[in-house]
Amino acid sequence: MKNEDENEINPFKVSPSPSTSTPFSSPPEFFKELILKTEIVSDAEKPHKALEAMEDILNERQSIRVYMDTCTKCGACAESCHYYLGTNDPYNMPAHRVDLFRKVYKKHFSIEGKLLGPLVGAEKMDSSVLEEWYKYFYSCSECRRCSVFCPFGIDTAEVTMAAREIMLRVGIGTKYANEIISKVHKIGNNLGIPELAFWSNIEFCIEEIKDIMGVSVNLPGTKKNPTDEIAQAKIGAEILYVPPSADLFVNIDTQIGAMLIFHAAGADYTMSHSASEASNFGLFQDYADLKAINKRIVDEAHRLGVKKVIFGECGHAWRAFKNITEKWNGPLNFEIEHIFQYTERLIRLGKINLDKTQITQLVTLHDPCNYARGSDLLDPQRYILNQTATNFIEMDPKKTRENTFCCGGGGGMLMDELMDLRMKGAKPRAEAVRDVNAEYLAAPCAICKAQLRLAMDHYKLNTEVGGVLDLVGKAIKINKMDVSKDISSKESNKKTKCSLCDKEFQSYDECANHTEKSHEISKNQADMCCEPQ
Amino acid sequence: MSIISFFITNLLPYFTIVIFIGGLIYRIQGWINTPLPMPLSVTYPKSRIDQISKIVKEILLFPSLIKNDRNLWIGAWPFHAALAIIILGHSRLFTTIPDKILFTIGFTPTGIKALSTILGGIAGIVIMFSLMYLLARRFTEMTVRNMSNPMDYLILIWLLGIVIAGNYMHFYNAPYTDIAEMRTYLKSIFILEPIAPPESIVLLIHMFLVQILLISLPFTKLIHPIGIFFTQGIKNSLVLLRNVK
Repeated sequence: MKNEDENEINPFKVSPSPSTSTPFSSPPEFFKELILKTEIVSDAEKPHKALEAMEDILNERQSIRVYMDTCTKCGACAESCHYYLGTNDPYNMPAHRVDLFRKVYKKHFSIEGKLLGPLVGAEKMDSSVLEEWYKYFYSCSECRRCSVFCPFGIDTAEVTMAAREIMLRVGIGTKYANEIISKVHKIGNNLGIPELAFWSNIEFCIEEIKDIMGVSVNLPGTKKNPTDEIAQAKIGAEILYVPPSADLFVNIDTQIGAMLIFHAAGADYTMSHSASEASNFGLFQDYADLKAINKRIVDEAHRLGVKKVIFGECGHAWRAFKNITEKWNGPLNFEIEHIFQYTERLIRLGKINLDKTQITQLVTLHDPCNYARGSDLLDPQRYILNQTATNFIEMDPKKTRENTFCCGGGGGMLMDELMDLRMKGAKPRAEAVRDVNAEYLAAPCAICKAQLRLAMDHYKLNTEVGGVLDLVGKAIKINKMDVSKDISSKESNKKTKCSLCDKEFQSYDECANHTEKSHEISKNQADMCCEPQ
Repeated sequence: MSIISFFITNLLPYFTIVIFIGGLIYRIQGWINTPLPMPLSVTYPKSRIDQISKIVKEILLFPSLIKNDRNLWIGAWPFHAALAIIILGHSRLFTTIPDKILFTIGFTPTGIKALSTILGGIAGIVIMFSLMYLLARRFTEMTVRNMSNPMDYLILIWLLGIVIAGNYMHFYNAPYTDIAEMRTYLKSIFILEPIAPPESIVLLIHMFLVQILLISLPFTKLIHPIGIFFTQGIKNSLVLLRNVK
């Protein structure tokens, strides 16, 4: 055995080499489902049409123009990109990647390039350029790490999005992303979970909670008849919870964690099949779909009349939702919040109690790039983990917070055919996890979870990958309260005192009514503060 | 005055001024006229003071380079610092305001001359070596070399040419010592009655190279000190600043 182990190649020592993988291209029928106006043209026409699309983009997005003109190619970004570190492919250096776009910009849209041509690296748009674009703009996970390293803050992700949109408009796109976007438009979520399966998966979570913890949580929806298999979203609920659909399918523990948090807080929340997907793949490739996918959630929240929309553990979903909702699809009649901000507040208010001793594993936290560099969500999850786990450790500060390394599968890159590139790109993150010897890697993003589970296997690390809410679900103290509730219900005719305001009541039920009205604690949570005398 | 000298010192300056200012307006107008649909913020300001100090620090010290690419900072920061000093020094040729400020804080004419000889001398040496360093880095560091095109080298060589000519005059040659003669010449340009500058072949080369650089500035990557106010790093921070509670 021992010899075998020694002979085995250490995956960390494999030297970087370029990846040859490119994504499968999208069949025409998926293009029809996109909101973006696309035109499938012959190969000969593509460069010309692409230039027209490029001109539109340059007139629509100041950022792209400024980025094209400002880069000095100083090289500060070179070693910031996880794909470059994993492949050593010069075109994976951010400035070089952007230069694939810039050379065409120079040739066709700048005085400099028109006058000096090859001297400034200007190059004509043709089919070979489009091929390069397809390979290298789908070797970028839009994680923005390079923009932190750039002295000007040039954001390669923006350029990648623009290049992908230009390609899409002439009928060049990936099967993966286009298929997912068509599923969102047609069925309502990325995974194509139909309404029946959506509600039965939620009920499955409820049963799981009952089996494991002995707690009965409410269905976040209403049924006309108890025998109905499909429920409806509760109209007039206070909160609409929008998870990434993967939480209902593969990351069940995350969904359970979220449901337990709402239960413990006694929140009046609902979920809806029409808003069953937090994720927004439009962000990765085109603004038209970004806006349309975002609007689904806004419309559903308005239809239900909720006061607040809470988003689940999904990085780019939160970035897109936080940054564009108000500006693109406003005005809004509701607030938006992330489940971490919500949970942090509940813990601070003492509405959720956690038993740290339940989680003794060595836990570390992966900052999804879109939280860290797109939506300023860094501290709530740290607070939650510190309250949840006894053994929480941070990775190297050069590789966390705004310097965090991408999991290697974000930005619409989570395709099986790119596995080679994905694993190479995951190396810096895997190294950081290895360095702290973590037993549990909290990766609060559906894409990160999917990618990092594979990466941990690939790099032979014995680290479990899951969410932050998974741990909260395990540490949350509900059992105890249920027991006390049983006792208190037996004593329901005794005099009861509300511990929050010291009022006395004739019965437990009266006290429960009072807490619901005055302290916004639901009846089934009333035992938190109703103490029989 | 030879025809070449006439062209460089009496004709070209007008082209330079028009193209430089026109080019800047063209470029900046092009940026401003394009909408910015999505916030580009990577990091979010915690408070006004925090953000203003961040922006000022970034412009004065390039902390993102200290943090992320020290080898580059070693060349880039001294270059830009020396350039700032040199531009301030050259402003004395166009206006007497700097001199007047120095007089009021107690400098004598000899003092100013000494200051400019020493400070200008140091800046000239520093900028020359930092340019050589940056050029060597572009040649030797494979990551940077891979993505460089001829223009990237040419700009550095061009700047080096300007600096070497400037240093030569500063340390060995006459026109420098007679700042009054340069002032008269430059004034003559601005009142549209151009006269000949002090006679010096090195000055002629210096002036030619500088003017070509200024003409190209709005159209090449040399625009970056203005671009930085538009990229999310700084401009967006300013937008966000308004939103800080």
